Amino acid sequence: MTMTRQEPGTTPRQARRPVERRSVVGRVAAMVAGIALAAAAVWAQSNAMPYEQRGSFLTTKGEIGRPVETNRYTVQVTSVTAAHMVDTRNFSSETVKVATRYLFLLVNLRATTRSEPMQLSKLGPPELLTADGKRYKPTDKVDESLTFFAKQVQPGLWSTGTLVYEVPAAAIPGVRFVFIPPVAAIVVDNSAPEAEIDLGLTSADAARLISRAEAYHPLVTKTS
Amino acid sequence: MSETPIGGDRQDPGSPDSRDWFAPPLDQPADMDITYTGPPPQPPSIPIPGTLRPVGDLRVWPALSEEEHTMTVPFPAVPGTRVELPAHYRRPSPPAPPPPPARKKMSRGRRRALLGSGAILSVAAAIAFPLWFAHGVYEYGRPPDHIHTVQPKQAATWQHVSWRVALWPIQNPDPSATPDPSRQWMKVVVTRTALDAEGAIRHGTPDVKLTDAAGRTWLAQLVNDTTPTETAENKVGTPYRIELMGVVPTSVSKRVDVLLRPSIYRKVPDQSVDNMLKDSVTTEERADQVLKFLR
Repeated sequence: MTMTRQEPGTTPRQARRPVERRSVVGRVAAMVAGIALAAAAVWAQSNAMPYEQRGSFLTTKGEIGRPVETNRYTVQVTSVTAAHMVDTRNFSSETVKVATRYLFLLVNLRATTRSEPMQLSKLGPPELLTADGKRYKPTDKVDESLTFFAKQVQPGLWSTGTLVYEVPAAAIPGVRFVFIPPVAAIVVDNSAPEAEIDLGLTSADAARLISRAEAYHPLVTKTS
Repeated sequence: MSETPIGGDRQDPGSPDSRDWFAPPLDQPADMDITYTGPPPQPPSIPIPGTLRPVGDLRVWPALSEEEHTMTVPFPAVPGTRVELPAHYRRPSPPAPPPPPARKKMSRGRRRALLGSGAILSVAAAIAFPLWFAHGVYEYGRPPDHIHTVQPKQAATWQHVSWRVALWPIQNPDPSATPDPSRQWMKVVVTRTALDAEGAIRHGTPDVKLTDAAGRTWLAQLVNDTTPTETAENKVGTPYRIELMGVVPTSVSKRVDVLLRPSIYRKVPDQSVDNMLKDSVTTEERADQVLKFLR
């Protein structure tokens, strides 16, 4: 145990500076300020984005018929048609009719990019987003070469194609088309822009679309 | 001692003594008292300088008097009553350092400025360092391309291979397609010539793109590659044609340049699969060299 030499004549109390006593009001004010800051922090946290939104792309919204421009591409949905049956080309290059229990929704779109070629990815394809939050991926009953997946979208050139979705009739009112660009699988670019296009299908329009659904819409043309 | 002493056994006086070292002489009587009977050892009457003052034996247990509760262990020291050791016990010690002078209190303004600047700097560092690391990762994963510009009608040499490029517009190769005046099909013919054996080893298909002055790129897709697939068949000095086709907007078709990225794949003949895999992992070369052929 170390001992310090005491200066003769001084006591420990006299050697220290007199301690400043905070007033009661000051202490209460500090406490209230601390609680207010903590409450503000909790409230700010409750406004944070939910988990699904944090990792999703930056969405630009638009409507059917108008081009939606993002910083990497521009996409436009020209029309939407419904069909009970479409056709596809199978491995022997024959045309095969494809039927469904539900309804085929064909989204005709055209797109161009800003500076780099782009080709849609089958792993993260454009989806249909229904009014109650369900997502539909394009159907795999149709061969890719007949859809927009086969198109190379290049700068300065417009590529036109169609994407085929298989949806129940109840999901069609209020459905939106979300154009998702291709991103790498491992290092996902969270800042990639996606375009959410409202197809303008109110319940009346949806009923009209379904009633005018074609019995058979051919996708395989003589030249494709 | 190799031999245990045998008590009592005496050899006849004529024979040599084979007992241990500490045995008394043979002619000493066995019952002789050999204990010390002189006075007990006393300290020297004149104290030798430099030594402790001799302390006589003190009786500590049992206690000298029954009523006094004496202790046989030293009494613990009471703080604050330290008595300096007597002079002849003290070790020469270096003089104690003088206490540091009392700190001058910093003015409140200066203290605030220091704290504020420290807070700002730490916030800036907390933002800047992760950004810097992430940028390093980005640079590593997507290294910026080194573009070597080649003048029109010139050949470029890179990594033992000489490249030459020809580019011209063509008609749409699909005769039944509806003519689209906004699109212009272009044909690119790349001629590669290996300059030595290393160039024959590097016969991978290059990545060719079309670009304009603003930096937009278009694909040029491979139609025909006449480079032999085996290194042995790649003759040094023989030009091989690689044909590609692409589409560009008509407005830039007169001014597109060709970006050629040579492949870093080396097909060394008679290389084991293990070595090839090891080379592909350990190679320092990156596919970031691009030759830009101006038109």
